[in-house]
Amino acid sequence: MISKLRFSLIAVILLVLLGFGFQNQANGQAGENAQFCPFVEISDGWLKIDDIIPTTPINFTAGLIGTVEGVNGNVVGGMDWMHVDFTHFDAPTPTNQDGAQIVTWWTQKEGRNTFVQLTNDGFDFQWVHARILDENCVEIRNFCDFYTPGDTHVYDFGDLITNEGGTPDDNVLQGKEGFLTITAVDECPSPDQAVDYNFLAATVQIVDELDYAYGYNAYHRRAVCFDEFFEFDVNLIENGSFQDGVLGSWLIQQGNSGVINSSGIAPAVNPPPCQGPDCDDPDADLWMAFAASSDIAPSGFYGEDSPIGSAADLLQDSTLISAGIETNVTVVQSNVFTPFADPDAVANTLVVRYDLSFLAQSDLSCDNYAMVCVIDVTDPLIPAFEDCTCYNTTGGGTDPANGVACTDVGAVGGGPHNISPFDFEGGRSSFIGTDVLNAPFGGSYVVQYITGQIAGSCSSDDDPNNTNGALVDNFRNIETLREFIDCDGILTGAFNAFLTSFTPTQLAGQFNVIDDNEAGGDAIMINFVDEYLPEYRTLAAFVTAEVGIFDDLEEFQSCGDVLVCFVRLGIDANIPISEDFSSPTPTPGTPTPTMTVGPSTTPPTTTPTNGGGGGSCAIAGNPVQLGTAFANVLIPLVPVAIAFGVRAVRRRKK
Amino acid sequence: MLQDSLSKIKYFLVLAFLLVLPMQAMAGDGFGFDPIDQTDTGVDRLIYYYDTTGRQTYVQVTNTSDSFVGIHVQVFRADESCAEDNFDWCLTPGDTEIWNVEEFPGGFDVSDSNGFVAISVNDEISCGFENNALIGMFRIIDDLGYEYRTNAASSEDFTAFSADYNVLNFNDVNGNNLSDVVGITYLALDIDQVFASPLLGSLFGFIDDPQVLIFDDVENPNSCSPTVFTCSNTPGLEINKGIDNSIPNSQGFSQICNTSKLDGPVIGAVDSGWLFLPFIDFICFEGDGDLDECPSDLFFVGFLGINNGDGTGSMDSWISHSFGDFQTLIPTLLSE
Repeated sequence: MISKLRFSLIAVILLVLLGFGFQNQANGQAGENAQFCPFVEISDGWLKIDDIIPTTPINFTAGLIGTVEGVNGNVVGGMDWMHVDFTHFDAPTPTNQDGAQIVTWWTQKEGRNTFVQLTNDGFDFQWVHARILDENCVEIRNFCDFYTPGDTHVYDFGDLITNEGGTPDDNVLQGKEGFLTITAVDECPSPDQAVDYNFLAATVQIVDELDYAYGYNAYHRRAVCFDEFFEFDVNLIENGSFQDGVLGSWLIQQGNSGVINSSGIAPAVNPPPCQGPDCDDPDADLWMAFAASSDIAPSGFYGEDSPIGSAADLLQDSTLISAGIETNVTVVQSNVFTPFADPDAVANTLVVRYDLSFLAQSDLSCDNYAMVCVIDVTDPLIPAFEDCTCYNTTGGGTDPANGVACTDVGAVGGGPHNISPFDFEGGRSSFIGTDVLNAPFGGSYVVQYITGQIAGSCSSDDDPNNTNGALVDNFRNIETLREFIDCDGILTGAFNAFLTSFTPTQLAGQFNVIDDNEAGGDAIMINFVDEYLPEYRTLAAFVTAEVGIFDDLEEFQSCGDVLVCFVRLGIDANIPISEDFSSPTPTPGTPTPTMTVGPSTTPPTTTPTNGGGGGSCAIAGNPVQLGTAFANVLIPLVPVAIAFGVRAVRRRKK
Repeated sequence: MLQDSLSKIKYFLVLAFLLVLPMQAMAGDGFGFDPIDQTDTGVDRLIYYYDTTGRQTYVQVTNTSDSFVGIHVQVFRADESCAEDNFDWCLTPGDTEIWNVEEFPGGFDVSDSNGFVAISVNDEISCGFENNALIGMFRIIDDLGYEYRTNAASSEDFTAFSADYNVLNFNDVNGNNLSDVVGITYLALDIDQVFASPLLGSLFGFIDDPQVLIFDDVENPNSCSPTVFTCSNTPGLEINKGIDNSIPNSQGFSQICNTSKLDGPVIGAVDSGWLFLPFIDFICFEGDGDLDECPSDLFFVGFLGINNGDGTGSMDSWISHSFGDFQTLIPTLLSE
């Protein structure tokens, strides 16, 4: 009985402790009560937005933090950008350096009016394009403007007038908020491409009807535009890995050939791994070619059945490997290639590499062969064998270029192989990928893969089972090209023509309240992605992040996760969203602020374009914090546990 | 004694600055090297402006790292000697401290003064050390009911470009008619120490090109005299100046330009202009007022505040332009 009572009490205590323990960490969900940290009551500290992970393509993430409070009968407020862990190596000081695009929050909600002063501190006449997105990250207004050198202008969002005197309809802005970009463009409205002009400097003031102002420098994104020599490799042998899935540039001069994948041969054979520039093609590892010499699809000796005037025809030879009269020869030829013919070429391997697997006939003692040759076709009327390597199961015969004996492929195995309608009864050698053929500087060449039979060399040369052939792949003559990639001032998003991206993983926003005054706050996150072509646009982007607060006793309180494009929230329960801040009693003589908030009476001159992604950009679907979850489960159990304990005590009394 | 000698030479300094310096300060392209202010990432040294003349100033410093970080807090008053007080502090991981500058630990008196606060990481005290862990923010609340708030700045970021010229936007939004153009010149002595003096200054503009220019809303420029910022309130060399006669200094200090750009033509409802401040070089004086060669570790931080004197105002650091030459600054802090 005593042990049961002890257990009950321990259970009660544990549950209570667990419940309150988790409750300490469970501070509601970020976004609840329009606060980043609901139920946290901290007036002095810093907001930490951590582990920022884009869920969509993104080029910009930043945050603002500001507070308003009553001090001595006045309302004072201020705002600045949150600190970040990383900016961009090309733009290390984005809020203190001019750039080619400016970014800021804007608002016409809750009695606020936004003013953005833009200065062209450069020496050129310059078009700019302003794109204004709302809190759902949807573009609701855009307009063009033009600045002379040294020009400056203030955009009053309550009475929008451009630097040129235009009056874009600002009705759509009233009662709303979001963020905006103003981008230097080549000409507006068309072609409207972002340009390399790092001379835009902007400051922002947001005046509240309670007679306080948020003022800060805009974020400035620097254009990066440079010319660069760019080196890359190309394979001069077209479709060298048969990545097109067909022979394509390879032409069958005579005989039998085609392109297969691993299941095109039985048993299946995987194509050898691709090598060289062809590997950029996702299908480079899928395909290989075969050649077959067989009585069931007969052909003549080398060149006998090749097109008139072709290299094989001109080099026609009935005893190509000097092992006897040949028959059923297959010849497949590549495109013509010329090392260093491209003026951008800076290097060439001057060799041809390839992979070859010999498909053997049933009688391994005969000299049936496979061969790869490089043929000099500099003068197409006088072709010549430049280099060859031949393969068979005997080592008999010599290649026509060097007179070197054919390579004995050694062990063949795997049993009979079939590439319909051809049966290779003698098995298959492994892929040979180490041989190279010379293609020296100064010539033009073709590559041929060849298979042939030696008439009468096999024990039963009329037997179709004596079909031989080869699997071939990865023909390559690699040339390095150096091209000059210039940036002509238009930002295309390429590696040498872009606006610097700001994608920090952490934001830190400091805040404090004097003497525990009543206060309100605005903590803002802005995320977007660039679209450069055909015209520059600013589109929605989303991130997830973990939110927490350090108080002035360096205690950290987690506040949950967010998924956000644009959001403005209060900081915590002590500094709720600024709308909830009520002005202290004004001191006598406090002037009524002069505001220009409201629709313009001037007729609209531009039409907004709907840009950006759709859907709400507010905090969406936050997973409940683990602490909250445990607390929600455990706290209701506390009375149950207590009741259980009380019952145990009653039982003991009985 | 030092204060006495400085008071005697101050007018000579102004004279020298106006007549001699622009010709002697710099050869070449006319643009010296001054890294653009860093207010966006963690740093090893933070510079804050403070003002307690009809104003309250609160400075906040945060250790964003998971390590203990010792800091050295120095307060420089912009007076005839740029007097300094200081103290050490230890920040625990994630710690944030907020001080009213008139209630700094140590009890020194900075009432009715202006100047700057430098907070540097300090490896000399038994606390801890971490690079680039400090972020800062300050609030200057004026008795007239407006606030200047901005991130504190560092000028020793080795990734920063050179601030060849600066762009100071101003406007009459909500009746803005007063300004505070703050320029802080300091010498980085050590990782945890800076020094400032009325004898160390930053020169903006030549008599010849590049000049200080001021533009109005319709891009009419006027040239202005060269201007120098030192840690003093000596007329002409103040740490805090006004823009021009249409938006003069909030505290009665001198104006950079003798124009009235906010009284001119305007497109739209809001008048505006901007100040072109080309950084020429740092200038240094000997005690007798002669020019001296400057040490290499001088740095400059600038803040701009504008207000309507009646409820609204705002402040941020200067916006700068670099001609694009990447500067490999060997930072004093990281070289220790």
